[in-house]
Amino acid sequence: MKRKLATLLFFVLISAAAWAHNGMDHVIGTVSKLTETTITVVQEKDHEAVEVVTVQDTTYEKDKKPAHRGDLKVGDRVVIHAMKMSGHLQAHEVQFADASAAVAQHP
Amino acid sequence: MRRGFGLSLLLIVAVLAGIGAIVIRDVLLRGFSARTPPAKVEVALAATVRRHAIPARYQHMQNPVVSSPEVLHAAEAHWADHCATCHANNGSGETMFGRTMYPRPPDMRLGQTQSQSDGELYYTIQNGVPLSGMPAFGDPGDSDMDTWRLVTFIRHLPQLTSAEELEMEDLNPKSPDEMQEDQEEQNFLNGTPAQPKRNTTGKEPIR
Repeated sequence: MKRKLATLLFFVLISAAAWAHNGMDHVIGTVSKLTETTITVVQEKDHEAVEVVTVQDTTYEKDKKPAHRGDLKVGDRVVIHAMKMSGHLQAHEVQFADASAAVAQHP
Repeated sequence: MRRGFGLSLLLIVAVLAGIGAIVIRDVLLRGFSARTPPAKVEVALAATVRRHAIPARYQHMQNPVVSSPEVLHAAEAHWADHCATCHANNGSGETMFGRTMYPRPPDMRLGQTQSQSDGELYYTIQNGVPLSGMPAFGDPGDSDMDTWRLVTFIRHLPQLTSAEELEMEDLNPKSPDEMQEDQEEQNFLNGTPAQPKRNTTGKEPIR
């Protein structure tokens, strides 16, 4: 019985660990370059530039409200949830905020 | 008579041997792995078998639930909580589990799913799909209203808006670590100084 419970607990813990991020990479930083199909982000954690590909299904959110790709600007703070797809990162969701808004809130 | 029976038996054995050979060749070519998607022959064969396995009465069964904003809202919440882990909020199947499941969950916005009748969708949710990752959900019988509401939502998937998808993300199940990470990301977007990460995993903090 104890062995069965331990096995069950093991699988529950493994499932919980696998759930984290739902398999997505989180790219956090500042937008340094925009093209029609890519967003380049200088990451907050290591200041390395990372390119993320956007697709038709990519959703955009600004200040917790739906937004459009055209609203995104170089210099914006951005959090991108992306999946590794055949060698590149593909954006699932792009959350962003004006850099100026952050400065205004915390001068 | 006996000769006819012998020929039929031979034909059945030949067909089964042919299918076996295709499966063995497939496994030998790509290894015994769920990482690569099933071959087209396997997908077509499985889809045909599955479609014919659904009892005929479900082909003409109508959804008793009338679509309304309230129904869709309830079904969205249900989907986000129970289905999105594999099928994604938008039904694309592009999730960590969906991308390497064998077979892959279909993009439910497309014809392969949308061409099925209401009853066939209901049957699939209620009974699952054997030899796939799809379990059987709901109460047995033909009157599980939660399942019928999900059928309504599946019909709505091709028209799902960005606003609805974002709303659903707040309803997806999250671990405490993931909730904290969400908070940290919002803090970053708002320009709030980063707080030291609460360490619940025994690993080094991320930031």
